[in-house]
Amino acid sequence: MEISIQGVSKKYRGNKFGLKDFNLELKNGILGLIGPNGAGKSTLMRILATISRPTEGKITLDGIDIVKSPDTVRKILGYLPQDFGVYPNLTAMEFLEYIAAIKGFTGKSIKLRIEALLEELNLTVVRNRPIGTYSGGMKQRIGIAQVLLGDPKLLILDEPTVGLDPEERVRFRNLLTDLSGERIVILSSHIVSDIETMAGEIAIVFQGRLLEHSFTLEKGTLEDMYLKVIALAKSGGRHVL
Amino acid sequence: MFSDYSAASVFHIAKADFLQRIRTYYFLIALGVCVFIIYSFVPALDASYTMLSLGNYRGFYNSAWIGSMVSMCVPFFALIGFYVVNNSVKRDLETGVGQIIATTRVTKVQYLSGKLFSNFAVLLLMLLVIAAMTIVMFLVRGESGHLEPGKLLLPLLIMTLPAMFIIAAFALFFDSLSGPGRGFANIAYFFVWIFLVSASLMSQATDVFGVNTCMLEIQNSVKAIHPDWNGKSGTGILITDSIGTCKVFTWEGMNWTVSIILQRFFWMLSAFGLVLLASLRFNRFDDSETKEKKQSRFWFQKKTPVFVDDIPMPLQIRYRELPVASAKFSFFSLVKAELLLMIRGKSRFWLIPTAGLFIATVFVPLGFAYKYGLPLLWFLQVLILSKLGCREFENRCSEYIFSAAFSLRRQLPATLFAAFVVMLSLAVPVMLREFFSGNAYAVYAIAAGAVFIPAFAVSSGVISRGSKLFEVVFTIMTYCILYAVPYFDFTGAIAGSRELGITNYFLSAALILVILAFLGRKIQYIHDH
Repeated sequence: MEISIQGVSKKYRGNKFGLKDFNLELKNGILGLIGPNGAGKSTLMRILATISRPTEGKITLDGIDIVKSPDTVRKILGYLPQDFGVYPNLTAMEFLEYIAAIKGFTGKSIKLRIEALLEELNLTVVRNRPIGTYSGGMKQRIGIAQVLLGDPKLLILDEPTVGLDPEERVRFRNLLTDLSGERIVILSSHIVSDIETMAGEIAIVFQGRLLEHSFTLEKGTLEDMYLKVIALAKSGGRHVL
Repeated sequence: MFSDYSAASVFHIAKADFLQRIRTYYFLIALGVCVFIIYSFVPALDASYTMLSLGNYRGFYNSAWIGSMVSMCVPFFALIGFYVVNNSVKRDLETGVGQIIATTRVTKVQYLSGKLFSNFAVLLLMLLVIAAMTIVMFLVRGESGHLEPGKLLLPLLIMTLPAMFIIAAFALFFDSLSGPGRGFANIAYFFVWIFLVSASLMSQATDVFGVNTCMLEIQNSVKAIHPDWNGKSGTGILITDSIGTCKVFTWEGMNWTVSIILQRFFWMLSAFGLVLLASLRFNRFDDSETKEKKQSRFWFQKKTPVFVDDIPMPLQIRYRELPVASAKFSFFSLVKAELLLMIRGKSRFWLIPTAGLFIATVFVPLGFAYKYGLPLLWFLQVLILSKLGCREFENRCSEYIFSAAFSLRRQLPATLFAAFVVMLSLAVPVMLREFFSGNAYAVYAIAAGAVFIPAFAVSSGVISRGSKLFEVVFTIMTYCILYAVPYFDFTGAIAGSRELGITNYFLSAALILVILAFLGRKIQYIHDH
């Protein structure tokens, strides 16, 4: 599976750009997006998740234009937004069944998968309690469960470790490792160490542009590289790929 | 008295809230409605209706008459004004701003004072627009070329301004109640408003809006000047074709006595009582008690702790061992899930009256069940229906729901169908009884109503992105049905509505509303983020 992002821009009112002439080729594996607040990471992820449209450029999934045929992506997508909510009166089981029904999964097989997911995420004990009573970390896990409902081939995870404690972050990393391989996983995080440990390749985004795209990183070097690239961009010596 | 810190904090709370409100499209729409009301309430002399009738006399369109006519629109401004300014405290709770404020030195009284002043400031801005429009109407419709600002605008200052303050206090009072949700306040205020208008028209002693005082003064004046006056008078939308032929009465304006001014002050002071009550009820954004109360209301399970213990995530998630689910879309599974979503978590205060009224429609006389039972039964679902088009946004689920494959063509029809099923199921006893009594039209009209209401609920939720529009309009429509106004008759029970073809209009409207809902949702998919 291949995603090709070609000259993508997202322009807002007042001639402001969320993304500007963004180019990137993605293959199976984990891509970590890193950049300061407002850099355009979430804008890129929303465009890839087909809930926003680019104002310029083209994005293809195995050659198919996802702006013209968004359902091509949606059928294989698991998306975790940065700021998401739940229906608080539904139980975990009911909520996941509802999302599964919208995604087009019904019947016994999805029920079994939801039960297994809840088991794996250690939510079985509270599966019949309204989600409104859950803690922040447990709600985040419900978000992760809805991502994994249909065995997605493309995962877009915007700040997935927010709300998870340090131990849960380690567990989440293990999950991602298990997931990678035959999937494209795009994740963003403010936590450099998270990106460094989880991602096979990284992309540094700043002011809507791709500043750096690197495949091989030595452990402990990302933070230095990130700071140098951002400092260079701020001083005007922009190194744009 | 307030210290510098207190005064500054009250000012800044009020200022921030004021700016937040007036920078919304809703506020502009509300101003547009006010302008339209004034334009309509000062009709041309050849219009087929009047707002202030004096039997065989009509008022000469001078400054005093136009000013008084506009000030008599105050009940309408009070209705619109409330819905413009309510929910500011609840918004602070939802956005988390309230919790930030709760951790500062700002006291309950300071916070609520800030909100009260903000409410009042928004309504004052509305009043300024109303005053400007009154001058415009004098220039457009006035028969006298002599503009007397005092006579034109003093009724607004003395009658309407205190009424706006009272509305600001009512909004704050409803807002401070921690238990009921926004929807309850939207509906409850409508009935409070009915009560206030009735009280104002009934007697001078209970004249909150000043309508009775103004009307009495006009009646006394016309009686004194024109002994041949037939004694008839009225206010409201009065259909007439004879206004041009009426004799002319020149109104010189209100005699602003100390008693009138004191009465207006009295009502303003009474509004402070509401603020006091609000401060007693306001829990300073500590919503744990509310959550606990809400918990105890879930009817499908035993009471659970407010927050369950945080159960840690397991060390290793064996993703590859999870059973694989096969994709198979089922419309009816989605409808079932939608039905569950609609009724889950609803309190017994909804369930018991719904069940009671449903059973009553089986046994009470058919005419009564059809005319009153069914509209009330459907009305009881207002808080469920009002969420249908906007709950994805209210619960912040829109991003992942809208990014599901084919969700527009799957989810919205399922939502509409589920609501239709609920409406139709509730109407089954009345429909069957009408069918067996040979009234096929009633069956058709009820089915049309069961189509129209979900269409209206979903489309208004999608377009307005909130539940308020549907809650207010559906409440007014139901009220009109109970008072036998045929134009709002979505059940077909009111005499005359069949002849007017109202059911067919509702069915056509439902079709248009469904199209609007789909278009609105499609635009949200594309342009929102």
